[in-house]
Amino acid sequence: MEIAVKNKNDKYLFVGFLENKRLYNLTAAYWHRMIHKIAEEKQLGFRPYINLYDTHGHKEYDANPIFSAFFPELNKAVRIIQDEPEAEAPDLTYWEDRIELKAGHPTKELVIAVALSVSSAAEAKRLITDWLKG
Amino acid sequence: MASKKHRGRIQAQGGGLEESESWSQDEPITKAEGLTLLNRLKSKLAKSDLEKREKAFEKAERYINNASGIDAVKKKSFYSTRKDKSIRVDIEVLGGRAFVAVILLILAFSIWKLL
Repeated sequence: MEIAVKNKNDKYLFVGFLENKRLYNLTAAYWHRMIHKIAEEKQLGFRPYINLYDTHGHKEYDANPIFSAFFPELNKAVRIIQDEPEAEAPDLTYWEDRIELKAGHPTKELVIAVALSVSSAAEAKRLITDWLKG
Repeated sequence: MASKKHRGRIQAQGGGLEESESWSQDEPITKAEGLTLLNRLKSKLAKSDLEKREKAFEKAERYINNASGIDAVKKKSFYSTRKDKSIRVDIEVLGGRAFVAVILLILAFSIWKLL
């Protein structure tokens, strides 16, 4: 499944986050709050599963991904990749993938590649909520 | 078969394509080995699939070349164009470490032998 969404009259959020570490961290916190709220409503635990640091212990600020969450009770994961908005590009694309966090035991992964706007944030929230239905 | 400590996968995905090359071994994969796997993956693709992912492969190659060892779990998705992000190349480091320079690997092995 690979779906793209674009709303030309949208308001973008956290523009310039790739150039500003403080803004980047606020953006990551935004995703954490969104996913924490969804998980709380569904009484699910989650933890990050992607290492966001390089071998020297420095945090990577490339937003590939900006946030990840593994839900052990469902054996499902969500990975968020964020880009700056681009005129001709869709604001949200998503696909399903698999990742073997444990060898021989694939975990279903929802990947959302997004330029964050009011509309794409709402769509991402809906997709994640649906993904975690069980 | 028991899984090895260092494992991962490079994939060409999206638009109905699902091809991959993986590794599972006792020692970290080197940059050179990683690039060999990337090229092997490229050689498996039809010309049109390869053309669609030309820039994605370039980005993946740059990522491996610039790495100074990457610790699991790491997953990066590279696209040729933001207009179609699902047409992509993914690099997954699922266990241990990957894309080390050979000299570092020799040094680490030498130190381990001395201990």
